[in-house]
Amino acid sequence: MKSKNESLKNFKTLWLQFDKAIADKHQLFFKEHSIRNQDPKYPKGRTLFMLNIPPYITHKALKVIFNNLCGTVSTVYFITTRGFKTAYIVFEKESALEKALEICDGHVVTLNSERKICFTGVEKWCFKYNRASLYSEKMLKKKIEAYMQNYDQKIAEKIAKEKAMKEEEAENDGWVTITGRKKRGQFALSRKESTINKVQHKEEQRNKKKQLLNFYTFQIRESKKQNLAELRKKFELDKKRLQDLKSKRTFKPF
Amino acid sequence: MSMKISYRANINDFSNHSDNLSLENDGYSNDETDQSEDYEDENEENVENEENIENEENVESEENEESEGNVESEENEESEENEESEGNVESEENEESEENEESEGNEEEEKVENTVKRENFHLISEKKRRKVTDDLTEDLTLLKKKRKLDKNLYKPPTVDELNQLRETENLFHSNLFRLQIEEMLNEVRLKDKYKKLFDIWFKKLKETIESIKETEEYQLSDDKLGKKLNVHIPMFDVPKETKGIFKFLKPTDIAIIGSYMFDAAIGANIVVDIMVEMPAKIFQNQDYQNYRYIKKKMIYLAYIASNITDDITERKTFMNDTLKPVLKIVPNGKLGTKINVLIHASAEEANFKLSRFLPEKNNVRPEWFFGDTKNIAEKFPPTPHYNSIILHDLTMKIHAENMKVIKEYPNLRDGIILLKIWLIQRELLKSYTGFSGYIITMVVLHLLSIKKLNTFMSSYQVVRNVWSYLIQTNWCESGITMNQSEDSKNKVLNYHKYYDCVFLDNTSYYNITTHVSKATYKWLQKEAELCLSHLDSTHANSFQSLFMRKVPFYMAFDHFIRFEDTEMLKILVNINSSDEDKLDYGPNYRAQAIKIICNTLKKGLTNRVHQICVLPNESSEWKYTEDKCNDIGEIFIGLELNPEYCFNVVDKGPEANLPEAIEFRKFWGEKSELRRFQDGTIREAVVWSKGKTLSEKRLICKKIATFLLKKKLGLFKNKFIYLADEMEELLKLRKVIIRHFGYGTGEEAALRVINVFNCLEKDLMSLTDIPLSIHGVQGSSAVFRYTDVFPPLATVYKPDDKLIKKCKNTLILSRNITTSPRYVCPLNVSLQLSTSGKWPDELEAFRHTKAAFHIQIAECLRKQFKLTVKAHFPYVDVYKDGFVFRLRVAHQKEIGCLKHQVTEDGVIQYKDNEKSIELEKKLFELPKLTSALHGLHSQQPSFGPTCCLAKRWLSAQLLDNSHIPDIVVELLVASMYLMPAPYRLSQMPQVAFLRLLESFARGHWNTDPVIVNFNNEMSKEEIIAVETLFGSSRDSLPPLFISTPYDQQRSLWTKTAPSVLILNRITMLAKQSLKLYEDQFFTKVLFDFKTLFRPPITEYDCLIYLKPLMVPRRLQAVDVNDEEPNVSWHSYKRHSAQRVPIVGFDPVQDFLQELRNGYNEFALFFHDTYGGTIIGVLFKPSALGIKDFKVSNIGGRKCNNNYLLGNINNELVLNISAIIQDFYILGKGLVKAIDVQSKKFSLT
Repeated sequence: MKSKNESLKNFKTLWLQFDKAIADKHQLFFKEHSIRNQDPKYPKGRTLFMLNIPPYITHKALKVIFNNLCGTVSTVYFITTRGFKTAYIVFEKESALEKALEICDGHVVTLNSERKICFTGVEKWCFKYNRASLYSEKMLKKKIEAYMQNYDQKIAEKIAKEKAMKEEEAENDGWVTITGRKKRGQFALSRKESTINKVQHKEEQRNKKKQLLNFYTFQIRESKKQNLAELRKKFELDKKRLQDLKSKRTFKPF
Repeated sequence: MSMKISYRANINDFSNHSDNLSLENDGYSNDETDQSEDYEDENEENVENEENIENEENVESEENEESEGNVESEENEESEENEESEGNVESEENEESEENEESEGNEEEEKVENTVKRENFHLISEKKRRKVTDDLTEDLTLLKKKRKLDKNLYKPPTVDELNQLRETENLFHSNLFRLQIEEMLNEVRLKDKYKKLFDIWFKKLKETIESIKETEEYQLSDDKLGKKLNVHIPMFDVPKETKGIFKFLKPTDIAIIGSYMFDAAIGANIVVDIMVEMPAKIFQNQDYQNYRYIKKKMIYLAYIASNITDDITERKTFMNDTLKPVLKIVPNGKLGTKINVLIHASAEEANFKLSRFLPEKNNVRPEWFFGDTKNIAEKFPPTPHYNSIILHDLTMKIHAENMKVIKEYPNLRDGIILLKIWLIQRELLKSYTGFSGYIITMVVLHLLSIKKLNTFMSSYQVVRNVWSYLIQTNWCESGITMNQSEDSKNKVLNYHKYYDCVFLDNTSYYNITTHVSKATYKWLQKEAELCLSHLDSTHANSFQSLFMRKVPFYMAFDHFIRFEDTEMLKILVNINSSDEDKLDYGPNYRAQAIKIICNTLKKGLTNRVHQICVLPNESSEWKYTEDKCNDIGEIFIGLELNPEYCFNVVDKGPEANLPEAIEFRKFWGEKSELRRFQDGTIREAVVWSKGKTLSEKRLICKKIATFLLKKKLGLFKNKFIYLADEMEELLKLRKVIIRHFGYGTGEEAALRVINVFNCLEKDLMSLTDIPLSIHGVQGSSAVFRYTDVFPPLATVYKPDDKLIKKCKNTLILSRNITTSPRYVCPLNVSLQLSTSGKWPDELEAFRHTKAAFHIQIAECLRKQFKLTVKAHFPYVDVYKDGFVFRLRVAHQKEIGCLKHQVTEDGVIQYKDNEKSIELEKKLFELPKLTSALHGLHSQQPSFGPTCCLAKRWLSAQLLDNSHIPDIVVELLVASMYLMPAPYRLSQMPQVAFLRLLESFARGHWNTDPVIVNFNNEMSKEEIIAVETLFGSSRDSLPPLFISTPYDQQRSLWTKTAPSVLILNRITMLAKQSLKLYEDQFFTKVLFDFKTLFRPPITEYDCLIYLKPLMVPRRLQAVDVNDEEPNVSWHSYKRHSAQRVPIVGFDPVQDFLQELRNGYNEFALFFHDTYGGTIIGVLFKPSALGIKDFKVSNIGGRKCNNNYLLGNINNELVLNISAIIQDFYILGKGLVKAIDVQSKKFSLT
């Protein structure tokens, strides 16, 4: 048994069947999730790391499967969006994980056995379409209002906090920091990449103006040389391009 | 002398420099200080040298120094020295030769050159210093490499090189153009070994011909002449009775004439023209009359043919037609694969007086030609074409002499070769009715004599000048002559009465362009014009389209008529040709038939066509022991439509009371009717169609031509093939009945959508109750640019309770459907709101605010305009006049939010990412392109249907939007429309589509960027910038690179698709399709264009068959099942209880999306969007192999371990059977069956 586990890099496997009528199965690979810097989202000892989940499996379906198999699942996270999915399954109790790890290798899980938990095909698409159509504007409006209220509150809090910070600063031992209070729009530039580039560009331009480019004979001479080199470079480039063309099509017109 | 001194000084400088270089090469480990000292020295020397140049006296000392320098360098490093000294010798030689050749004016240039050279040394020293200080720490080898590169770049130029660089700028279009010309010329030229072989062979041939025995005299009219001479004499269709005697005498001259003589012969098979001059003694006084000369020549050639022994020939045939016979010999052995020999029989010029053959003279007597039965007036009608046949032979030797000049000027020769290639690619160089190489050579000679060309011109300039000369002159009205005498110029006027084009040779008797028709000449002129303008256009790489690309006849015109029943044509000629023409052309029926048909068409089509051209036929060949069976060959006519008039529904005739009206009536017969026009006149008129749809209008010319051929010439529809619109069939609706308007190929349906859209736009702009007013409404669906293959049709949608149920203000699907409802395509529209600073900065908050706007817009539309509307989070659906529009608010801030990034050091960046580009494309770029493409369609009404055909074809080949996005196809078509060279714009979608296929087949995407320059908005500099980018970073750009004025260097649309694989597949499929088309075109098989649209399905690993009833667009398929019931489409009527229909519900697309999302890693999925019931699956070979056990490899695979067999190998294999099972699972209710046909894997 041990050798088997080692052979699969400590992964355990189980087989997933869509329903009883279908004989072909997918092999799921899983192990306990444990790495050094574990995200608190995936707590140690309660998280199962699972690979090769077929694309049609949903959060809900996976939850139901493991609820039945081991014990209550608190959440399921999919970490890939395309292709076969990879998931973290977080159980409520550590015992559930242990139970999961005891599943033997040949075990077969049937997805749609007694109760249908995974819809596919036309049924699913119709359902999806109808759900979108049935979602009324009123409900939508409510949802938006709730969200925006929340958002406004958040922003208001943020502003209040900033203000508080300032006031706090102001009350430092009775010392007041005096800053140049400029009018709106005259604050220091924001640290955007575009503004930084702009400033740099301006600086360069200014430096360029200071230089005399056509002053010394050597400069003129050099620019001429540069011209010739440029011509040659272009010639070489064209030659290269011709080679490319040649390799693509022979120059036989007929 | 001064030049020389300065030059020497340079050499001196040079050697010093080499000295330094070699020092350096010796030891890189030298201290920095050491080196810098060196440089200082060098600099001092340089200064010295400069001074020396100024003081010209120090010649001697300079020279001394020079030699010293050389010695030094020799000591230091040999190899270095060798190189340099070689350079010296070379440049010295060049210097001298230049001095000799060039005049004083060039002295200045010389000086400049020298200064440039001098400067170069300085530069090297500069470079070196920088490098040494900077790079010393760098890797030694790297340094060496770099140094070498730089040295090459900055080495002193030789005079040769400078000349070349300068020449390219002045004498050629561009560097690349020159290189390509050279490359091509190398390819077409005959190799020397063949020339040697030929020389030997020619000697043998000459001996053979000269050793042919002379014969006694025979009567020409003798029936047994052939037997007596022991040869077969091909006879032709003129009265047999002839006076005169024939006697074979040895030729007076055998010589090579024509292009081989001056090395300009090209082609797959190089043709060598050999002239055999018949001695004067053969001919009698009156032999120029009544075909006697031609008969004698025929017999002479036949006799030679039968006496050339087989040991030097592979095959002997006659060529051209019976009036201008040429003996074609294929030499035996290896030579025969490359070279064909044509033997022309000529006569000495002195045989007959040339003035006998002036065009107004008669040399075929009517009483002889027609026999006694016909009585023609006493006057003899002129026989210009007959005359010119004999003149041709008489002047052959003179022309050959003239051409010898070209031998001395390789540039002229190259120019002629280029022109010939140009003509061959345009199918104009065929046979003598085309614009033969002989004519083009004569044109070059003529231009040389009138000083329009000179012998110093480059081949490129020769070509360019010939083109512009062809455009400037008009040989149909004011012909040209090579004879500069005043008399000759007067003659030209006279010749115009008898020939279409006039180009007299230097005897000023023979018209070189006798057989060139006006149409062919105009065609040539148009081609020249096109090429010249293309050459001047901003696009740099015009070479390919000028010389390398074929311009096949069937793609160069709009409509095609093809006659292949030669018997019928013969009858046609006998009935319709005038006696004068019969006498003049004799047994040349082809020329007469063409003349009759073209004249008739021209008269009826008038200004609807730009030109009516006939494809010059291939010279026919027949065995020397046989009669020629077929004189006419197929006649292929191409019509180029004139878009200004060709779509007119009515032909307006003259006013009814004018005398012309009678003639008009006579011509059109019962078609003509009296009509009153809007301007109040009553005119005779011909009405051609109801003209409701554009597709009907495109066919008006076909209607007219068919009518004319039937009424005027008695040619019924089944006697010829007319090609114009066969493929448009695929764009027409089948099984759908629409009564309220003509559908045609869909342009009218698209127009209806656009009209409704315009109304909606007005409605939206006038909404009052929304916080920010709408100030921009832009459509982005294909239908708004006329490129939707099947544009949506307005209709009423009702719930039927089986499939569709109602719910509030929308319709919904019932739970289990077995038939897919009608597909309703949502029409995407983006809305611009007036600006506001209050939009939230956070993405999610922004989206919610946007959704709030959607709801508000929906409410307003409902209130203000009583429309049926349903708002969703990301969009609003508006059901208006039977169409569903899907509105989205577009705002730049959303993209800004998506792009927003903060780097580690707190700098805010805005970077493109997948999501932001996706959104930008959808909301901003696509509307922009839509309006640009809409504009293009209104300029070129064939653009839309061409795109539709292209999309239909790609989809039919199972390549859908995910493989090559629709908009990319449209952009490719647009690029073809904006830069049609080497073609002219086509009015017919079918022809444009074929051209697109041809460009697909070329697969030039890897070497050329596609530039779609709408309205020429991109400047020349911008285009060059794009091309430079493409050249320099090809590998990092998408496989297909498209640049538009709105998106010049990013190629937004092709970033994700198409892939190289798909592009190659397209190329392959296009090649096959074109081949199929050509095969059908040139063989007599009935046309079935649908074969072009039927995909090969055997090569897919597995096929998923769908339930036809679940495919909502099944009626759009290429082959619709006949049993399918007809669907009648009711027009839209407003109903108070109407609801938003089921929009955009296509289970097949949902299925495909899930397949691609889930299994993209292992397989590719192919499907025809327009009604395809098969999905082709192709597994990627890389996915099928055995993989190591790795987390990244696990997806979709299973463990290969077999514990029962004790076989533990830690390997993964693809779980194919489960995956195929997944296809069933995902497509439940849609999939009918899955057929695994691959042998690459087994399912166990």
